[in-house]
Amino acid sequence: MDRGRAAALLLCVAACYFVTTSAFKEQDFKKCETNGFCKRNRGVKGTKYSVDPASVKVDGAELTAVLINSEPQEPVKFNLMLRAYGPVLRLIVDEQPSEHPGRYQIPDILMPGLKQRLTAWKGQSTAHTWTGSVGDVTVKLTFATFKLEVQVKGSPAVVFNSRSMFNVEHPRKKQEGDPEGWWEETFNGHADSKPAGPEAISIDMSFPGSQHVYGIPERATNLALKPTAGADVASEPYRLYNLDVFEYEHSSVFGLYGAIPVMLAHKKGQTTGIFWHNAAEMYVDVETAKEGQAVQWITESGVLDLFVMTGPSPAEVTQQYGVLTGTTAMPQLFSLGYHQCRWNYKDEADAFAVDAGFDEHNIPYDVLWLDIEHTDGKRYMTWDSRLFPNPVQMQEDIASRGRKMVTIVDPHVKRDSNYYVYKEASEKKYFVRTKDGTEFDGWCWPGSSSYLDVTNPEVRGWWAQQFTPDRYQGSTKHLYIWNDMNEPSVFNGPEITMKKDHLHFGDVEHRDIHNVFGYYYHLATAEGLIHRGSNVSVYGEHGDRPFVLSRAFFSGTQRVGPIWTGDNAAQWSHLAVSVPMVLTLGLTGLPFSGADVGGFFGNPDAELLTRWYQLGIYYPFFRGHAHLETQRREPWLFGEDTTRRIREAIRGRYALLPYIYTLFRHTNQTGIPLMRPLWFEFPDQPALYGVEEEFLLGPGILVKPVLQAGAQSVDITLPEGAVWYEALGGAAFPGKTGKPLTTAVHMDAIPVFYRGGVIVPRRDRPRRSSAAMANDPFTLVVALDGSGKAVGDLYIDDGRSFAFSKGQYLHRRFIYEHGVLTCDTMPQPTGTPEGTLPSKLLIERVIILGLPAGKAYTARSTVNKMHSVVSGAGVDVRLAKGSAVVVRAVNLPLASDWSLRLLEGVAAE
Amino acid sequence: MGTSKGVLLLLLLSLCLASTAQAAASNVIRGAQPDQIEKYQPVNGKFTCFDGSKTIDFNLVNDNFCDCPDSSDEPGTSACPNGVFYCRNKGHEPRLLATSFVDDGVCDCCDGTDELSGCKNTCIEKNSAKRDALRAKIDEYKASLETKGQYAASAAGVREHIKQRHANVDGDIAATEQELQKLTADKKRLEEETEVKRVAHKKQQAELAAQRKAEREAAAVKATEEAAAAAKAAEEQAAADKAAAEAAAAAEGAAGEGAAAAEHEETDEERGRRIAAQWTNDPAAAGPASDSQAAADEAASQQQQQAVTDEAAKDGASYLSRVYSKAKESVQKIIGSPTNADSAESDDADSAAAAGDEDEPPLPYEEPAPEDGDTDEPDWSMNNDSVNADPDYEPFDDSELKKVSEDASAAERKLTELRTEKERVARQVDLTFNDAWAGLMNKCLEARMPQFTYKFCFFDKASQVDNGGGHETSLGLWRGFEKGGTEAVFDGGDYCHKAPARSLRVRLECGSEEKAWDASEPEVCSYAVHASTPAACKTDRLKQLEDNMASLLAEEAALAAEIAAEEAQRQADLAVLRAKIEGGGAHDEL
Repeated sequence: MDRGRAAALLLCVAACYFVTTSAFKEQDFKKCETNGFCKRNRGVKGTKYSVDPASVKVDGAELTAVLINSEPQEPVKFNLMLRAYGPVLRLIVDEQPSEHPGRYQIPDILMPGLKQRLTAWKGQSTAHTWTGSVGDVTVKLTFATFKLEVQVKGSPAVVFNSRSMFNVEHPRKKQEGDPEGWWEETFNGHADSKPAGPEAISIDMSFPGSQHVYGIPERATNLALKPTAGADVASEPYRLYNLDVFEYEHSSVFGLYGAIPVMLAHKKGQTTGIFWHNAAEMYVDVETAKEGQAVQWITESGVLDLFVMTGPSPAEVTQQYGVLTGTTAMPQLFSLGYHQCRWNYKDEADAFAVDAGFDEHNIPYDVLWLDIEHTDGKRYMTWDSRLFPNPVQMQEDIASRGRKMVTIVDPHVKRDSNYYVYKEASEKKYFVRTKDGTEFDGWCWPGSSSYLDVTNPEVRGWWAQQFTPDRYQGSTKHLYIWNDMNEPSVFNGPEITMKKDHLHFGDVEHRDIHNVFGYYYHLATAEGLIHRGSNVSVYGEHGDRPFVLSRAFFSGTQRVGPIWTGDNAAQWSHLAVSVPMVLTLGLTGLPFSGADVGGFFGNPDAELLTRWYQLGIYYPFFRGHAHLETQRREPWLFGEDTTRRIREAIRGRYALLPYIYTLFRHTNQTGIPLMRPLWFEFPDQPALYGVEEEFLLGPGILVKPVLQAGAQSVDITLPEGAVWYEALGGAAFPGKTGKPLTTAVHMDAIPVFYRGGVIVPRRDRPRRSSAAMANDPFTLVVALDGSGKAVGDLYIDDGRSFAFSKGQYLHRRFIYEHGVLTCDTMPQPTGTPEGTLPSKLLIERVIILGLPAGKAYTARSTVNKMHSVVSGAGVDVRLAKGSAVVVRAVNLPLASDWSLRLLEGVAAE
Repeated sequence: MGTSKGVLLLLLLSLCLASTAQAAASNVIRGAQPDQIEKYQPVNGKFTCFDGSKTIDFNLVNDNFCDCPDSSDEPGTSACPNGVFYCRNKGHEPRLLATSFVDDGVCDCCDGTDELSGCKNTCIEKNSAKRDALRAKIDEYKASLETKGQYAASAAGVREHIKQRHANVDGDIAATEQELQKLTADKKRLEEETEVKRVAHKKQQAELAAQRKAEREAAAVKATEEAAAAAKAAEEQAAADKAAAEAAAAAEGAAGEGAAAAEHEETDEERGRRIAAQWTNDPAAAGPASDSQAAADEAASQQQQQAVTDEAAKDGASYLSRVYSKAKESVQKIIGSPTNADSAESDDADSAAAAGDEDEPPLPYEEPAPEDGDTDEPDWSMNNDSVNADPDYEPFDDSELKKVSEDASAAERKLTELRTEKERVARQVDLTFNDAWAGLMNKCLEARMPQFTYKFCFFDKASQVDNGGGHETSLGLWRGFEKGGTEAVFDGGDYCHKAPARSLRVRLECGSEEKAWDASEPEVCSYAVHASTPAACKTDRLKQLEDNMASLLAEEAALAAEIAAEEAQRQADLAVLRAKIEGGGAHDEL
């Protein structure tokens, strides 16, 4: 029992409960002006930093130098390092060793083995500069004033400190007359003791010739970041500080639940990425300058550790970032199906009724979710025994139809010594401490709560032991986990989070690790499921891939699991902003994400809900979710028409699972995102750089969501240089960037196009779940480009274990050229073991788009089988509204090499 | 063997399967609905989609490739998006299944025909619900008949009891009237005496209270300082004794309350609750409810108890708990008694439940709050609030008067009841009825409908009560059983415009206990209600149920034998289908 509670018990006003609010509460959150480090540095130009020419040394891949700030009476020296890892550069500026404790660096976000990629400089010095090159990349370091320019193939990519905004607040002793805010700050009654004083870092960078910059999630705003500084612009800077924001706004610079300090700048021929390896709070100003986009980037503490990904293509930037922080973990196949969630499915009967509702209405789904109310008093990993008396039987029953369940487990632990998790963690001193070293006591869903210090590897190791069924009573092998509130959310803390002077492992201040806290909790939970999966008798010798959804995230989260965009609202504006939000996450290395379909807060009408499902099926993570006090909105509650439309949408998702799973394999291997802005695939068309209302899923599918109520028509931008086939009708449209195609829309579907030149694998049989599709045959949609060619591939494995990493997979390549479709082995990146998988799976149908439909065809496969071919309108039940050439019942084996020749005319008997 | 083949043939006929000689089992169209079998007959080797949109080779039916836009060519495979699969589920109920569920690894039909890979036939087991329900009904019937027997056995006693009451009730009435007379006199005398004492007491208490109030106001400022000092002392002590640190924090908290009494600042918890409340109006979802005084007491109690029972820090802790108690006392004196309007409004039951395991008794130093009953006394010369807030107030003792008043009221009630009884037994004493109905003597039932509740007592009377206002309309007095004991009738109730006086017919049926439901008004002012009672159960109906059970079991046994006999043929059919589907590519398709 804590004193805060005792006090409140006597005095708490009734208003505690019954205040209903209905919007983002600006006053609960800081602005740059009320945040010392930002206020001190924002817009400050003319700093005096120079490189000591005598100090410049180059040793292979590493340049070292001393950087001097000559502004103070006694100049301050810093160590500068510049390294090259092939096309990736790294700039580090840190304090020189002194009596001060060193600045914090995140120990384990970067991928191991980076060192092996170090590439030696070819450099030369003059009195004022040093110039070095690695491959196509050249850097020029100007000594006074300090400036660093990076060029790729002779074209400038990024220039650091061209506006002299670079600044490192050096260590100092507290003195009389120090400016206010250096050694203590207070916000809304919360004092921050700031024992290290001012320690911010600022740097400016410009991207010559670029029109836009992208990235730095998470916020609900445009894909191309709007200017926040410069003439005639009055805006808060973009903020990177993981916060639990109640009812966030749909168009705001404000930072939300996660942070990835990665920015991309793009111009024709050059995409450049920046990654600041630092987990402290950050602000970023974007300014449209004459020379291109110019940004100032300020962080509260830590070191300057900047990576430059030099591309030059957008795909290469994402791949280079994948090399630094890892790529997306291969998900379980079920997790790519539809997830049905609600705060809360209230008891077992409710859960069964929802499960049965999907079968009754013949709508596929894979996972049923339970939010916080399923627990005994928000003690996670317990059950409310009145509502869920038989959780094991419930999970087994739902799993008997091939489905899974997910329960929520949050990082706040109810302070109750009868709760085993609290008792054990408290005894082991595993909780975050206050500045005085006592166990931190904050308020969250369970009331008085403590927070596991997951920055401590030992705590993560202990946490990872908690998910086996002997520890997590009432759990089964069919149960997976959802981590919410891991920003961390602290209801009575400053800005609904932890105080910055709280202490973590190694007495590191919370300010240094804030943005990475959620990642560590997510990681520890996922490791818990990996550990659970190591039980060979239950999961087999290859274990079980974890599935843990998180709300908070940081660089590296992609290696752990998916995230969702938090508590959005049932509004058209939130439907619209979900597209740039998910696109941005993809560009910054975290493609496995999605927004709550339907919107969390409020009640969507049938039209909004339908449009949201029609878009949501293309989110890499596809879940419907709703607030406790909203009306029920399972897909069959809005009348027959809506049920049918949502059924068709979700079936469309399941039909694309082979394609989506294959795309996941690609991002797993390279880091390339699933949902891509148009400019990502067509980087040389400036008119596409600002397009965010439509996108591509992988290389081959263009999606134009309908984002307005009552829309009768939409304007679709079909990029030049490709033929586009309308997905339902098969009609071909040539791409014309800058000349949108105005198309009438109806409620049954949103416009979707296949891109000529790409072969998309599908599974067209509607099923109740992904598991039920395991033996179904495939359909190949061959969309021909202008020269009659198309390529595609299909990746399969067991969909659940780590066997694929040992070579138990099939990755097949399809090429259509000169009227012949061939199937052979997809070449793999170096280091990937060759794939083999016994499989009886077949191709049942090949749909070819782009051939004259009026003609008669036959097809002959290499095993000398003839296949009937139908062409024209209505030839396929899936293309009832359009025409195509369909090779029927080809029954070609996926696992073997073959070719199929399409012949004009009717073959002789 | 011979028998089962015969049964099989019969079944084939009854299901309207092709009756021609070529009705070989392999021609069975998997998944086809019985009334569509004819459409699956080849016409010149062709099949026409049900919607007429296409004609295809008949061998493309159920070949695991969807040709018909209406999904009609693949009733037995999953190839089409909107196909319908029929399972016969012999022994249970036939079912129409979406073809999405065919061959998906989940057994949906109890006969297992939706999965080529094979499922156990569970149709007869599915019937267990029907069987179990019948068995339960039989058991219930037996129990009801037993109760009926007990009713009959009680008949003599029931009749005797009524006879005796009829004889004795007048004497009881006289005795009670006498008692009431005496109590009324006592009450009048005591009222006069008490009023005199009350005036004296009131005056004395008012003087004392005024004196204490002055003292308290002087002490208020001092108390805050004391509390703070106590907290400081506690903190110092705590520094020496780590185990006692938590209790010190408690004292500090109490001191904080004292300071906050004048100017309220948001506490950590309030801040947490306020933010939690943004997300939901449901307090249960936003953290445990605890702002009622009950929870406060429990919390404080637990806190103190924790400190006291902590063996490792016993000395320090008990010292600190005294500090804490003292601090809390001072605070209470300043801010008033723990019971206030806010806590009275909160839902005590809920917060007690939310406090969960914290159900220790209240602390000994806490005075009981003045009872509500005292606050509605007339002409109270002091401000109620200040007196109520005065923990030293001594309530006035008028318990003797209260007791006499209560006794007089009880005697009045008893007298009313006896007079009613007198009327009733006068009507009942000459009634004749079958022995089994004795169990219903004076038993009262009610059926609640949206607007009215219908109440009746067997052998006595019936009425209709308005659920809104509680107005009661008589539906008459007991008339007797009619229609061979299937109805009980009340009549001669309240006047009804243009219809006979109100009446009620109770339709009796067999049941294990007395219940009433489903009241209606079939004719104007003539009401009806259903009721069950063991007294209405009949032995021959039990026999009938038992016969039903026997034939159900026989049926099941026969079905099981049939299903087993068909199994071999079913497997053969499946093998043919499997070969067609899986080996589809092996056929030359042109």
